[in-house]
Amino acid sequence: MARIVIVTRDNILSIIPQRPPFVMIDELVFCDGISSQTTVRVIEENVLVYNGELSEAGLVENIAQTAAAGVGYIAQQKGEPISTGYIGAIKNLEIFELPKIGDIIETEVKIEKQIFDVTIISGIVKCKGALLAKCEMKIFINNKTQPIQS
Amino acid sequence: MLNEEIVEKINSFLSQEFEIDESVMVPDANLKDTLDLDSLDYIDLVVVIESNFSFKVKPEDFTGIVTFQDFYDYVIANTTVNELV
Repeated sequence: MARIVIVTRDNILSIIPQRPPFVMIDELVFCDGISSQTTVRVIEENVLVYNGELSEAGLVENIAQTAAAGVGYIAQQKGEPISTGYIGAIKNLEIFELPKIGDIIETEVKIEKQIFDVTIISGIVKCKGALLAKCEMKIFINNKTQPIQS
Repeated sequence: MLNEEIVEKINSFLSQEFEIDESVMVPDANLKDTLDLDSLDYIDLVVVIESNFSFKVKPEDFTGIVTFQDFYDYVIANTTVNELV
C-alpha cells in the first residue's frame, strides 16, 4: 500500500521551527493530533551522520522533530504560528542499531501526557520494520513564538 | 483505600521512580531534598500520582508540600474526595 504523504519534503520547513542543516525529518506521513509519523532518508550530508551512520543524537533529534512536526501541522491547520520547543529530559532511551546512509527511517511519536507546561511523548524509530530506537521525552513548547517569516 | 495502604503505595512508587530506599522516607523528612527532586522530577511525580490515584494535580498543589507527611496528607485528602464522588 502506498504511503500517504501529508507534508512533503519541499514543505516540511513550514511546520517545524528547525532549519538546515539541522533538519532530521523529510516528510510527515501521519498526524491525528496525538500521534505523528515521519520519514527521513539518511544522507551523507546530514550533520549528525558519523562513519556512515546516523548517530544516537540524530535519532533523538529525529524523534523530537517528529513531535514538533505533529504539533506544527496541527497549528498550521488552525492557522496558528509554529511554536518552538525544547527537549527538557530524555528517559528510558534505548538504541538498538544505527541506520546507515541510504536507509529510510520511519519514526512514530505519541503524546502520552500533558503536565502543566510540559508535554510527555514516547517515540520509536524503525527501519525496514526493525526497531532502531525508542525513548520518552519531556518537551517544553513555547506557544508565544511569532510566525516564521520565509 | 485505607490511609496506611495509600502511604505504602506512595512509598513503593517513590522508591521505584526515584530509585531510593524506602527506609529514608520518614514522615518528617524533606520530600524535595530526600528524593533530590528537580523541576522535571516534579513532572514525574505528577505522572505517578495521577496514574496511581486517579486525580488531577494542579501546579499550586505543591506549594504547601514540604515533608513526606505533607505529601501523604495531600494524596490521602484527594483520594478520599475522589472515592466519595
